[in-house]
Amino acid sequence: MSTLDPWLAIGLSLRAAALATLLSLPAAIALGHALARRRFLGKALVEAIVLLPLVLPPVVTGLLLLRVFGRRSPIGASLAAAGLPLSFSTGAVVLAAAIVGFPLLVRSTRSAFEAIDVRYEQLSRTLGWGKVSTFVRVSLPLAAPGILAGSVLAFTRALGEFGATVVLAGNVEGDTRTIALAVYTLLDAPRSDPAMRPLLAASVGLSLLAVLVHEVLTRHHLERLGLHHE
Amino acid sequence: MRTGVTRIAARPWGAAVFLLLSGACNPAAPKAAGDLTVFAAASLTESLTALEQAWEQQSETPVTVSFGATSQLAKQVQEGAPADVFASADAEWMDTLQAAGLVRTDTRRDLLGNRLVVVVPKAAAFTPRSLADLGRAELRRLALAGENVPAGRYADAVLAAAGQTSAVQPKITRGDSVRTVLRWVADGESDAGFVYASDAKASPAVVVAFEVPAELQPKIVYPFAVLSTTDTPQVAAEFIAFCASPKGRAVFEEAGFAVLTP
Amino acid sequence: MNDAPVFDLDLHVSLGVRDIPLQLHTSAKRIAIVGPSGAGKSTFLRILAGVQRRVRGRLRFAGSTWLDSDAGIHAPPEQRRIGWVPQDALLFPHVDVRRNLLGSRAARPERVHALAEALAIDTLLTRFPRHLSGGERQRVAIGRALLSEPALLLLDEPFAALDPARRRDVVGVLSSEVDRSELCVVLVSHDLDRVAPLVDRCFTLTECGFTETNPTSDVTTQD
Repeated sequence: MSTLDPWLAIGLSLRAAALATLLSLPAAIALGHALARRRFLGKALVEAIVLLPLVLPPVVTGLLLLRVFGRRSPIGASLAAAGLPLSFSTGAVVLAAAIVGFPLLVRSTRSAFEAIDVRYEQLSRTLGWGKVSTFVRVSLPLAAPGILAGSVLAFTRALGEFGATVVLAGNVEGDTRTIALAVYTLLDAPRSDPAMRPLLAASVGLSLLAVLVHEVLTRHHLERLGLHHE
Repeated sequence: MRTGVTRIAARPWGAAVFLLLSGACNPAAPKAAGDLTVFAAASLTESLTALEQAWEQQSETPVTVSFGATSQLAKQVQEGAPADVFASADAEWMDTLQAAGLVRTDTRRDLLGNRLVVVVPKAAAFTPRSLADLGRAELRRLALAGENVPAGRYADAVLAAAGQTSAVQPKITRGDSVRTVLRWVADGESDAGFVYASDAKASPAVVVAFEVPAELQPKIVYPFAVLSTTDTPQVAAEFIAFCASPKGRAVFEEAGFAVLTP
Repeated sequence: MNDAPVFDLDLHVSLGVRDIPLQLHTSAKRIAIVGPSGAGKSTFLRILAGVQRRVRGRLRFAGSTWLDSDAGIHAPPEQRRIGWVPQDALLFPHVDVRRNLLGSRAARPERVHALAEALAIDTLLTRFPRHLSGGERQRVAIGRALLSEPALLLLDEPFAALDPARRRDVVGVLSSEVDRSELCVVLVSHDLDRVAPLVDRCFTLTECGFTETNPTSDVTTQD
């Protein structure tokens, strides 16, 4: 008899993916805008590093994270001493999810900003607004649908993350056993486990929904800006 | 006298494509007739690897051993993976395969025994000395193999028999094989873990904190059997016999297993 | 002239592979710029607005140094008190007309209604830019620039989408605003007859730079 609770896994996956996406947003927005608008030394290197979690095998990403945040590392040891061990905790699930979703998020925010005519921002500056005010009053609202679409994409990726999670977060029922890990665990069961059905349904259903929402948002974003490029 | 093929090969790109295609028709390592494939529980890694080499010195049949969690390997056999010999870490999984008609029952033998122990990292701050100690606050993470893996099942049963299940439940992380549990303890990610005595011997980074008390020690049996899908039953049976030979027994005992008298 | 120059520039701007020299020293406060298309008239406005890249040299306006490459000075746009009306209006698509008009830091809400009425856009305040005609958008853009309390108005073909009647009205509004606030103006247009009341002097911009022209002469350069 399995002690595996599919609803616990589903809830954990949703919470972790949402948290991961939310926490990554500020950095992704700032980075996306910088990559879209500015030229700076080492830009290619930054782009490459951001892209890395997208092209590395997720298990490798997880292993690298373990080296940095595991109990034996300086960072991990001090976290553990402070009573907040990162590896094998829900925090690790969020971290792994955030890292693998980050490249997708930055790509989307960058595209969203690139689609905005830079002259809107320049015009705002001539109206007396500084760089930060212009960003908040003009750039962000115009990029919002695209950023939202990117968030949905990153959320979906985070929801399905497995390789990095299993290496960094282990398989702790309730704390780190996400949908993917639960399915993986159930694969070994001698007979098909009834817990499999809600897990599969949730996984497929949520992903489909997310992709649909992403499509709608992307189109809305383009329409909003398309009408004003004369 | 230029045939069609020669014409293609005459140009550089044509030659490359030609070589690729001919290479594709002669792959490097398919299962050639006569090769032996063994699926073995993860805890047999060191011992069977040593025996693999010894076998190949005295037989012309090359052998390939795939190690993994017993549960995963058994599922693969169920799905039709082409293995000749199966070495399981418990009787239940072998029974499952047998019920599905995948085992040559007359070849099945209980070859090895093992003991369940609790290990801790070498420089552990806290060393539990009993099952009750596992519930103490100083021990924050306890690693077990998965619920369907033999080592995990044994550990669950032991904890239940000792009445410690609820005490340790919130600390448990499940590895997909007993080797994962070993790695977690060795790396210090887990404060303690349930592994086999043979696994504890295999890793210099862990020490045995205590053995599961004799009265709770599960009856751990490693059945070996020839699978019915094999096309080399003779050689497969010979391999099992080799494992049971004095040479084989010496290797297993060295690795920490108990060799069961047939 | 012994008046201090209002527009005082000695610049080079890199556009693609071209390097355009721009030199202008005049004490006129309201000038028109004409010339063949592609000569850099819009670029000149962008330079004055402070949003053009790859500009070197010196630029002074009404005594303030806005750019001095050697001294490392580059006054950012928000400090220049510019009212920029680009050729395609560039209204912010995500807010309505009213909020577009009030889109500058210095805009005062109490002035909106009167100005909107004068520009005949007071009925459009709740509409969004994508629902406006070209002419309507231009008038909103002009309103937005005027409401920002600028010291310098930069107008890039501001009347192109307006019919003659409307053009007269808008020129009238601009004229009174310019007189009232002592604004300086740089106007790029190819229809100088109609805008004569707004400008003191006219310059032609070609590949070789600025040359002064008579504003009432027959200017037939087509863009």
